[in-house]
Amino acid sequence: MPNVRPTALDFGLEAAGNYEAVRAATQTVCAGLRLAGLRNDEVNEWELAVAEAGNNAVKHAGLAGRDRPVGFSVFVDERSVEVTVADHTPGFALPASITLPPDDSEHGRGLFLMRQLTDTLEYVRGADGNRLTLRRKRSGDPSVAKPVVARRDELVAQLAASEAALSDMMGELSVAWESLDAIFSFRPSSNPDAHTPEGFARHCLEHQLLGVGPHHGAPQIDWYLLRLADEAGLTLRVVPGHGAGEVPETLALGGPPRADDPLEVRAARSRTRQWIDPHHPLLPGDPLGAIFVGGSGFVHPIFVNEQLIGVLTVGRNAASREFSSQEVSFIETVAGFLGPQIQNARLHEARLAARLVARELDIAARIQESLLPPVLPQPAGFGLAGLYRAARQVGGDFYTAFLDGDRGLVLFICDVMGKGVPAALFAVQVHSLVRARSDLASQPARFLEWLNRNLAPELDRVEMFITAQVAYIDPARREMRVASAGHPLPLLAVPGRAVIEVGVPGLPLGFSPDSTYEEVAHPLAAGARLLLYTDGINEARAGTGEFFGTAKTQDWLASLPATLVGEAAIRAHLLATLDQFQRGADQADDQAALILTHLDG
Amino acid sequence: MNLETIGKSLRLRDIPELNVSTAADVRDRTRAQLAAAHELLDIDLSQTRFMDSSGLGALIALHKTMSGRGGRLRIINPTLSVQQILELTRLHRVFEIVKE
Repeated sequence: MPNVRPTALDFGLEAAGNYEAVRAATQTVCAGLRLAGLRNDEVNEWELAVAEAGNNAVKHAGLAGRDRPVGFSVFVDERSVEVTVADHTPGFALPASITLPPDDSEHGRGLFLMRQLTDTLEYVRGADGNRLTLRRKRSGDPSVAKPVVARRDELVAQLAASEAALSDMMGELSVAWESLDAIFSFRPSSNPDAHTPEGFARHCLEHQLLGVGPHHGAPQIDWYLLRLADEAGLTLRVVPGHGAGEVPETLALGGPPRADDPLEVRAARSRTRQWIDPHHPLLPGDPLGAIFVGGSGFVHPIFVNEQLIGVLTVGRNAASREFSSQEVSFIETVAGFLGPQIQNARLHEARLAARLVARELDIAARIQESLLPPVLPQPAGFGLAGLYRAARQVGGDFYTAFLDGDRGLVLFICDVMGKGVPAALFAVQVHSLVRARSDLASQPARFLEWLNRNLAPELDRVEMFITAQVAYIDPARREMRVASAGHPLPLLAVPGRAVIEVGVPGLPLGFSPDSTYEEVAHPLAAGARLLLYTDGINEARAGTGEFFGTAKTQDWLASLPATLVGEAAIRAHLLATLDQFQRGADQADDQAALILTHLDG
Repeated sequence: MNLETIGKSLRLRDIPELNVSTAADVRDRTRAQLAAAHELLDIDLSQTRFMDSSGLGALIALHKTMSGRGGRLRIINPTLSVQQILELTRLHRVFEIVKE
């Protein structure tokens, strides 16, 4: 299964104003960055930069700021990472140039490190607090998955649905609006279409440039055409509206400049205004020829921080009057206002997409947790312990255990192949099926066959499958009966004997609707321990890439001291063993296990 | 952390993090253990997953302490992240770094 990771994230947290809390918050920030798919070396560098920023916030707290929280906000998209540390301290003065102190100085390297480890560092000092923002481009690692980006119209729909995002954007618009109130009569809230960058741009232009009479010296124009660049800067796409129907929708920006490039492309490439008038005629075949019928006009490129946002072309049909410098500067102002707004609107879309991914992960994790039994049954003479630990991206592992009246104990563990919400939803389905026919569970093979028949059609449709293991513990016969559907076989440890695998492998659920399974009965000696587990355990990886493996899993089971019987103690023992092995590595897959101990003779 | 005298050297090891919360403690406990006979202070940073600028400050303080008494400080087997911060701050020129 492909390991689909989110590449965008947007989250924040607050830490108490002391070094330990800030350290913990830094580690949380780094966990987030790892989740967003940053490489380990990048995360390590961020760890240092964020730690220095957080420590600074604590260090400069003084009496007034002591115990005031330090806020961390993290925004990651597929290109860059931005971390802002906000504090409520008197702050410090950011020197104009950040240099290293003498080699023998014991202080004064924090800012230097932050500067070295990031692309930009901004420090804003305010009356009630300060914000230090660190930004850095992500490495261009091609192995990083592309983000799960919804279609544009879906995003726009989501945007409309999300009141929070909407009010954020409106807040920004209105701030910008206040300062430009003298020229613009545009009100964003009056037009629902203005919620998209294109809609916003169109509304602005139609009200200002073609509106009912010029406002405050606005030039009278007869036509305009707006094209926006895609984020990679490879194409210019026309914004629906005035003049749009008459020209090709997309102009390519890639490739070397050509003598016959359309005027709009030339303006974008050269970053300079291009005129159209009797002295500067359009080349034959230029798309603007469909709109330009004489008179004069110009193409104005729109840039924000070196990034091409689009090109705005305006024109007047009457040849009698050329654009005055005042009129040109008005149109420049309109374009200058549009640029950042369009960029902001895009940023909001990106943030929204990041939120959606984060929410999906959260939902999957909650579903998964809800499937685990809150309390494990502990029938007389037996002890049962369970472990479940979700990976960064939740998979579809779960286990359950329940009593078959007073006759026996059913242990069930499974692994839905896949990740995220789809896997979690299949796990829900398995869970309810298991509970629906718990009466069948005393015959594990029949039970798996029944589950398979019910799940196969749908699993086949979505090309997923599930591995599962059932063990039925029968105290009266002092035996267990097991059956396996493509799952790691349960391990049995009996004091004084080698650990063995019990049962025979079978096909995973979902391979074929008429799979049959084989049941194996095995005596259950006093002191025996039985381990059911998912492959997140034996496929746990060390920092070196080495697998934990079945042998170490068996060794672990055999090494459990006979005196160790408590549910929490056994779980902690397994966790500690896995953690020690995995130290320095990411947990790639969910880990789930059930450990049954036969207590007395 | 672990401080041990081996011949004429004092060896400091098992420091998981040398950061703003732990640096002063590491510095002070090491100074307290330093005896006249110690000509060498070996700081083993092979277990140090994370070090920040305060950690650097502690190393410099101990370096000065050792120099002041005619001894030497050596950094033993630093982890990659420790090496990186030493190089970023150009202190790799100041410290004697030993890979054993």
